[in-house]
Amino acid sequence: MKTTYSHILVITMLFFGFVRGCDKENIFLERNYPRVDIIEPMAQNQAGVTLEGVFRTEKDDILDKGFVWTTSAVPVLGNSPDISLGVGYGDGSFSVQLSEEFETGMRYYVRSYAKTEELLIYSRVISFVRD
Amino acid sequence: MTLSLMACGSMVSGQTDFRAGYYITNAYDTIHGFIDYRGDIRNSKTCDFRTEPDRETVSFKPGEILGYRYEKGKYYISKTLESDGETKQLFLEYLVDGIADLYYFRDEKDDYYVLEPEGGELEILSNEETVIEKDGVSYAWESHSYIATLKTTFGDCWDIQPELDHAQLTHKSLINLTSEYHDYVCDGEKCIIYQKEIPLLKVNLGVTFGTSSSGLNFVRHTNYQEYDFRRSWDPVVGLQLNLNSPRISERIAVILRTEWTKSYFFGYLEDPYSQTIIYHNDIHIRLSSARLAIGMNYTFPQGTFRPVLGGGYLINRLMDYHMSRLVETEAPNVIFTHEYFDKPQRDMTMGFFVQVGAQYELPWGNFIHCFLRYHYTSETISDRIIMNSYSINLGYFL
Repeated sequence: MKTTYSHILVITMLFFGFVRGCDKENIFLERNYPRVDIIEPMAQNQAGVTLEGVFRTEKDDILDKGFVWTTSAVPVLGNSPDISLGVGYGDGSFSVQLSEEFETGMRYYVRSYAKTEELLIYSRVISFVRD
Repeated sequence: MTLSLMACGSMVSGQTDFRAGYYITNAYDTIHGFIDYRGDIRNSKTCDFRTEPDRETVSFKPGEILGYRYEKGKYYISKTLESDGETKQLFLEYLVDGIADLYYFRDEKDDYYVLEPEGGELEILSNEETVIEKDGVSYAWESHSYIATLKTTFGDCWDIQPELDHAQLTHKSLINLTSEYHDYVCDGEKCIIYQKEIPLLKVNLGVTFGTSSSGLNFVRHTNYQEYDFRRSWDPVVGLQLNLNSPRISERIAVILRTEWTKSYFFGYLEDPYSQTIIYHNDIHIRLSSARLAIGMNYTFPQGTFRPVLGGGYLINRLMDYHMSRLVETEAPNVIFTHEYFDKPQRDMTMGFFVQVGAQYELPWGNFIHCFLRYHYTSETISDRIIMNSYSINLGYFL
C-alpha cells in the first residue's frame, strides 16, 4: 500500500509540474510597423506610479517612445500630458516612475506610444486609480 | 450498466481469449497449454486448445477428453446427460467435488445445475415455470422441483433438510448446501470447491496525464466566423474510474473520467475598411476547462499489451475564460489600438469522445495505459461553435 501511495504521489507531482510548465505567451504577428503595448497592472506606491511599455515586434527605426495619459477620454499626444523616453528600441521594454503627475483618488487612462519616421503608434488604453 | 455490459459482451464474444490451462486425456494424461475462454455457453460445448498462444488450435468435443481446466480457474469435466429423452455430451463446470458433486452449465435458453450423488446418476435441478390463466388473470407458478431433488439426494442427512426448503438455483446457494451436506456426512476429507469467487464489481481508479492539440472553430457566429484560430497544444490531467463486472464480462468496462486542461487560441483577421484604413484584428482566448467523460472501454483479451477501444459522451465545462480582441486601426500616419472583451462561448457544451490505446499490466497488479483520444463538443442553438482535440494520454491505475 505504501508503494501505491508513493506511486500516486510521484505521478501527481509530475503532472502538476508538467501543467505549470505549459503557460503560453500571447502571439503577436509581425506588421510593417512596430507594435507597442502597455503592461498591466502597473505598480504604484508612495514614491509614485511605474508605467511599463513593451514592443511586441522588433523594429529598429524608433524615433521616440513614451506614455500619454488623461483623466476623461482617450489620451492622444498633443492634447494630453505625456512623457517621452527617447530614441531607440532598447531591449524591447521601457518604463518610468512618475511621482507628481497623478492625483490621489483620480482615475487615469494611459497608453504607451512609439514614433517612427512615418507613423505614430498607440498601444491599447488601460486605466487605474491613483492610491 | 449491467444491460450495457451484457449487450456489449454478446457483441464481442467472437474474440478469442487463450488462457493458461490444461486438459486431461481419456488416458488420464495432463497436457498443459492455453485454452480459449469464451464464456459459459461455448465452454460447455468445446475446448479449443493450443500448446502455445500463437500455435494452431486443436478442438476437443465432450467425450474426446476427460476434461479441462484454466489455471486457478474454472474446471470442466466431460459428462453425458439425459434430458427430455435426449442424450447429450457436455463439458460441465465442476463446482463442488464431494460426497455429492455439483456441476453447472449454460445453454442459449437457461442456466442449469446438475447434481451427482455418490454412485448415483446425474440429476438436473429444474424449476419449471408455468403460467395459469384464471378469470382472465395470468398467474405464474414455479414447480421448485429442484428442492425435491435436493431432499432426495441429501436424504441421508436430517440436519440439512430444513435449509433445503430455502434453496435457490444460484451458485452461492447450491455450493453452500452441497458443501454443508459433505461436511455433515463425511468425517474425513473436506470437499473441494472449484468455483472461484468472482467479484460483482471491480473498480480501478487511475490518474491520467498527457498532451492534446485543441481546435476552435466558430462555424456560425456573427462576429467571429471569419477567423481561423490556431490549434492549441495543451497539457491534460485527469482522474479515471473503470467499473467492470467480471461476472458479466471481463473485457467491457464503464469509464468515468474527469479531465482538466487549459488552452490558448489565437486568431487573426485583416479587415480593409477603405483604401487607406485597415483593421488588424487579433483575438486571444485563454480558457481552462473541465471535461466529464462517461463511456465504455473494450479491452482485447490477448497479449502483454492489450489493445483497448472506447468511446462515449462528453461534457465540457469552461472553468475560466478570457477573450480579448485587439483592434489596430492602421491609418496613413497613425495607428490606434483598442481592446474589446467578449465571451461568445457557453459555459457548458456536450459532445462525444472516441479512443484507441493499449493497457499493460504491471508485475505488482496495477496497470498503465496509453491512449490516443479524440474529443468533440459543439454549441448549436443559435451560434455554432465547435471545439475538438486530439490527445495522447498516459494513465496509471490501481
